[in-house]
Amino acid sequence: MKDEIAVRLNGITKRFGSVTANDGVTMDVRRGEVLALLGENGSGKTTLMNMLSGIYFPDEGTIEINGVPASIRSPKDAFDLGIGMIHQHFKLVDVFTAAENIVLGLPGKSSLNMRAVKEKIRAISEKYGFLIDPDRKVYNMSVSEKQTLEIVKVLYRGADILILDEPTAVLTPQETERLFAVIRNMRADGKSIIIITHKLHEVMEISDRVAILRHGQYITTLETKDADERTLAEAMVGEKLSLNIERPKPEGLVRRLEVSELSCVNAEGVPTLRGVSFTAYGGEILGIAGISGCGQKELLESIAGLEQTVTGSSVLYYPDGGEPEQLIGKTPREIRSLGVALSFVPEDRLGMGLVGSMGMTDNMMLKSYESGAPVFLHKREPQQLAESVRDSLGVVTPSVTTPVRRLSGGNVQKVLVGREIAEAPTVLMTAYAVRGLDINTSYAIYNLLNEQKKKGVAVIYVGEDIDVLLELCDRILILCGGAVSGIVDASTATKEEIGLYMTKIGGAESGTSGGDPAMKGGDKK
Amino acid sequence: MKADAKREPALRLVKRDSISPARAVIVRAVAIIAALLVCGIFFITVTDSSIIEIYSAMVSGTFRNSITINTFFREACMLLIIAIGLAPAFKMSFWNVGGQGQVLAGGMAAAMWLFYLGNKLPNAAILPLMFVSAAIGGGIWAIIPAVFRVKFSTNETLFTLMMNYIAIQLVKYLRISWSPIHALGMIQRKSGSLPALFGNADGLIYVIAAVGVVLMYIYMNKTKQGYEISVVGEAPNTARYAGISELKVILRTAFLSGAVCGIAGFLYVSAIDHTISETMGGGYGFTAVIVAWLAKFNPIFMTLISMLISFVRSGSSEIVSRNTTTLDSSIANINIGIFLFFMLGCEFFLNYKVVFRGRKDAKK
Repeated sequence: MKDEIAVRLNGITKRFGSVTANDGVTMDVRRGEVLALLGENGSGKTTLMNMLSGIYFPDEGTIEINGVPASIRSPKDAFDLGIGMIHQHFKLVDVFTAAENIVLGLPGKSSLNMRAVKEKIRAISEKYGFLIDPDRKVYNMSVSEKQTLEIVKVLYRGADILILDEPTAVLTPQETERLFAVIRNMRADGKSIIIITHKLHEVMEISDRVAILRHGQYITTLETKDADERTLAEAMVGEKLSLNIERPKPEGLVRRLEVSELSCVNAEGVPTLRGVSFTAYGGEILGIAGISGCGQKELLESIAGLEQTVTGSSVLYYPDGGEPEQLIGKTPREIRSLGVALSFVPEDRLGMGLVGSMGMTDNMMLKSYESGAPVFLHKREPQQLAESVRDSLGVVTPSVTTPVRRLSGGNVQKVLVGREIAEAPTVLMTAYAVRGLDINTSYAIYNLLNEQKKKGVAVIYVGEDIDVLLELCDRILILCGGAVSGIVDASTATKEEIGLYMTKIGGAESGTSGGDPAMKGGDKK
Repeated sequence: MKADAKREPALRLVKRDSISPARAVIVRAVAIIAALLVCGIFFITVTDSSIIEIYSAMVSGTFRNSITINTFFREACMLLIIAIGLAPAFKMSFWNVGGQGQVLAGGMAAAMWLFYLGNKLPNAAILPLMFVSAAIGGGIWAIIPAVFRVKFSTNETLFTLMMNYIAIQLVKYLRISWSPIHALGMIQRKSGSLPALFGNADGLIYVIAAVGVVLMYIYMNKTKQGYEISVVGEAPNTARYAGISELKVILRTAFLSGAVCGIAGFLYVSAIDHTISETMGGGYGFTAVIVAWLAKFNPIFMTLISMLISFVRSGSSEIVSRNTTTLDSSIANINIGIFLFFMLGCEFFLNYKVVFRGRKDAKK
């Protein structure tokens, strides 16, 4: 039974426009095993699993379930084949009870026998060791209870193949232990479990085999018992690529931002930043690396005044020849007027920073529209700025009044970054500035950032690609779970080193090999 | 994309990226012609007239003489004024469907002066008072839901809708308490009537509508406040990021929206009805929602659509008046409904393209 193949993927390819999310992935999942799916952000793990659960349909390739070719066109098809996916974002009705959520959408007679339903839920819970109260309303549940409910829901429908998308991201260590116990029970029962995760120690703890994806391609599958965290990290990040990004030597470093004990809590009360401390210098590019959702967004937003911080957090800004200013407690506008610019490229690009229905000109004045004589808008300067950004960055647009939502992703990003740079900031924060861009455009953005660095701007660059971070940045700060797990000198650090910090292993010894450039003979001011 | 073709349904909808202006005009023209045809067919079934008689009656009901022409323009103007009031709120994604209530609130505020001081103050004093308090009254009626939206995230669509019914009940109450004896035409006062302009009693309404359209166009497109409205409406996160105070913009815009509707209420009281009643405005508070929405807040389109609806209304009344034994005045609403159905329906075809599958594959 152990070696029977439950799922076989054959040359699965999925493209989104020009982006190839999965490129000819061929792999299999055995019955009665826990397979960990490992890969960096954007390596195509979730896309691949979404094709198993019927959310996407592959462009090429075939899927076999239990040896039979299957065409999974909808989540219902997936259910019929015994495949159930537990998504990162739960799909539950808040005002329903656990039992009601479980039967929701199931075929059956018009009258519901809730007692039988609850009986079955209890049987499932006892079998695998879930703790669940069928009568509890979802809005009263903790995150972990909701996750349990999602799993029970899938089992109730008779799933034999379970896919868990980063299930431990939202759990406490104790809850994670309980989840793992349940997963082991399910495995013992012959179910196949695919678990998507970034955390290497969890991979080691729970999985039988590890499949690794990188840049949409299947790399290899390892027996967990033959692997260690270092080999996994290497397989995940791959060989170091030489990108030949220019890195001028940092000169005339000036202390600009001193962040200390910066902490944030999200709406659910879960800490998103834990005591982050670092210093950013004018004249250098400070890279920020980390698995997505480790506090990058919160870090930049709290510096920009967009995020509520926990008492005790401090962000000191050092202007030229003046007293340091505390940024915490200032409004975004006040912070911006000091010269701290934030260009954040979110997943949907337009959601934050641009207005999709407006043209370049109108977007250029988003932060400056209030200047000048009152009442009426002054469009001349923004229009000139829009034209100069268009010409200098090569933005492809029919005209500066064409709604930016019609532009391609790369052009939208150029508009966003171009506007922030045009403000002549002293601190420039960018997040995912090259997300989804082609090579040439990416290099154009790197050049822009380097120019800013040469001008003495303190550049903070949140990036996803470690190769880029290593070549572009002077120092790299690695975030893991909202805390700084290491700060390294980018010219000497290795890819594996960063990979390990990203997955927390290096966290304990708080590596600061490249800690403070001022200590290494940078200009101290 | 070959794998996709296999599972393509027989008929599917593709969102259009954009549509050429010429094509958009054709789609709209087809919709209007189709609406006219359906209206005609509808009248053939309920009257004995031929289709030609029906269309000629609609035209003559509107353009027969100066009185009908005047009514046609007046109704179009009133609809237009309410629509330009709603436009900034919609642009901000604040779904103000409380135009009716805001018109009534403005009307009540205006009628209050008429009732208490209508015999004591000269026109020059009472009209400005009525105008300003009508604007404030309408503004308050709209700002209440806005406060709740901002503070408690209530749904402004339901809230503004409910405010309509409160206004209606208040008007009923005031009618009785101000004028228990006369059920209709209660408030006859010496002053408080809008003076005629160029010998036309409705002349000032035209002026106010024309000025209003121009001012609102400038406000929404050329001013800093108008810019803030666009940003808050389209991208609230971007607004937050740019440091625009959502609270301030929403409250200010809601007030403005209600205030313009309130001014429409003032015009009903001082120029058209000379009284207050809960049916004042004849449901234009709702029709204007569609006018503003269909026109995408473009003032020229709003003007044209208002005139179209006014034309259907006067044309329908003419046919009703020729067939009083079998029809009543609600026919006009049916016809406006038919037109709006086609106008809204064509929006769908402007935004989506229907794609038929080339050829059916045998299903596995």
